[in-house]
Amino acid sequence: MKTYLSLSQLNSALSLRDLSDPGAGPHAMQQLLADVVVALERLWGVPSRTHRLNPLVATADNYDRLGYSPDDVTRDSRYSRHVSPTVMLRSHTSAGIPALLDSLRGELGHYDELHVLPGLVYRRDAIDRTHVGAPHQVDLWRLKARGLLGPSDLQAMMAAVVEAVLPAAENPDVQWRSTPALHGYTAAGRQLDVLVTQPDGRREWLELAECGLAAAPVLRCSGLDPRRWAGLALGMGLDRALMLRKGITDIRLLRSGQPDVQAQMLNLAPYRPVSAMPDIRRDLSLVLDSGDDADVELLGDSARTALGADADVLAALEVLAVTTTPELPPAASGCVPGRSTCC
Amino acid sequence: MLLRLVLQPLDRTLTDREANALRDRVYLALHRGEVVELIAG
Repeated sequence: MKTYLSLSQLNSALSLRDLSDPGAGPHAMQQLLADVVVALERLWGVPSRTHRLNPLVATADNYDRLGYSPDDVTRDSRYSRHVSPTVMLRSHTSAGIPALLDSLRGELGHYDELHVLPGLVYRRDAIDRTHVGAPHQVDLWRLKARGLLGPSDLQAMMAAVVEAVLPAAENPDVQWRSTPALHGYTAAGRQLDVLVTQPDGRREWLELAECGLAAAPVLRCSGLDPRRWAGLALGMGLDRALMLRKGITDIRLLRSGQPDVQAQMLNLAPYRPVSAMPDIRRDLSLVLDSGDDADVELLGDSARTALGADADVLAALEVLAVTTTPELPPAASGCVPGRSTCC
Repeated sequence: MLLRLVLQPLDRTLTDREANALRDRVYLALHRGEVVELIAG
């Protein structure tokens, strides 16, 4: 099912400040990104180029040209924000890659550069202290002509990214691992996880990035011969990376307007908690049309839309219980016959 | 279904009245049943 954004939804999505863009004012996220880029430039001795692209993209660039199948579930309007049948708000910064690869078709000599594509991406997501509807991402692609890039280069890239985000000197107990992962736009894909100590003392594996070797079909689709061109591709969530670096447990703090918090979002020093306001809980008994609608991402997105500018007051939205109609006693209040999920 | 909202502004204290009004806005957006229970008054 495809539904399209209204003009006001599109306007509010596009007017959201991109914290990774210095053009909109300084933010610690920019320093973290700069540290990662410098680390990779030094590792490989290659120059980098940053592309700040508008988040409105061709749906084909976001999905088809990156190897997603036409019936992939993430294309559904439940997860993607479509503007028209052919245009959407990018769901990942990789959406900028097909056009970038197209632009390299004329490169006939030696070529070796790091391309950096940061910015906001648009999802429909659950509401909790680590998720927002429009998180920041960066795609880091090293593209090389007349030279090989393989799994050992990818391994070195992952190590350099972890060291830049969580320097061992400040985080001596950080460990990382990579596990196999499938993406349409990579070969030998990996998921990069880090083992970190949370501010409350818990040790936890968290995903930091996804990466792989640039897939041959993606190169070929832009007219680049995979026998001549090779690439390393890595995509990282910048909100999570910054939260890990600074020890921040609530993603909303990154955009806080409170001066004591805002001042701390200008550097990479550990976050010092500013006295938190008490939270207020409200439990809602709802009737939905079907069990499929009892989905935290779908409900989270609807709640965010309903609250508009007040949405940042909502720290979390948790599903406590789902009961289908046949399980309910006949007298259940608010229950509608024929509806499968109730109260 | 039973849903819990955790309301917590980062920069001020929320009054019960404000919390109830926000709760009602979310409730009206998500609820599909015929019986509507609002609490803000």
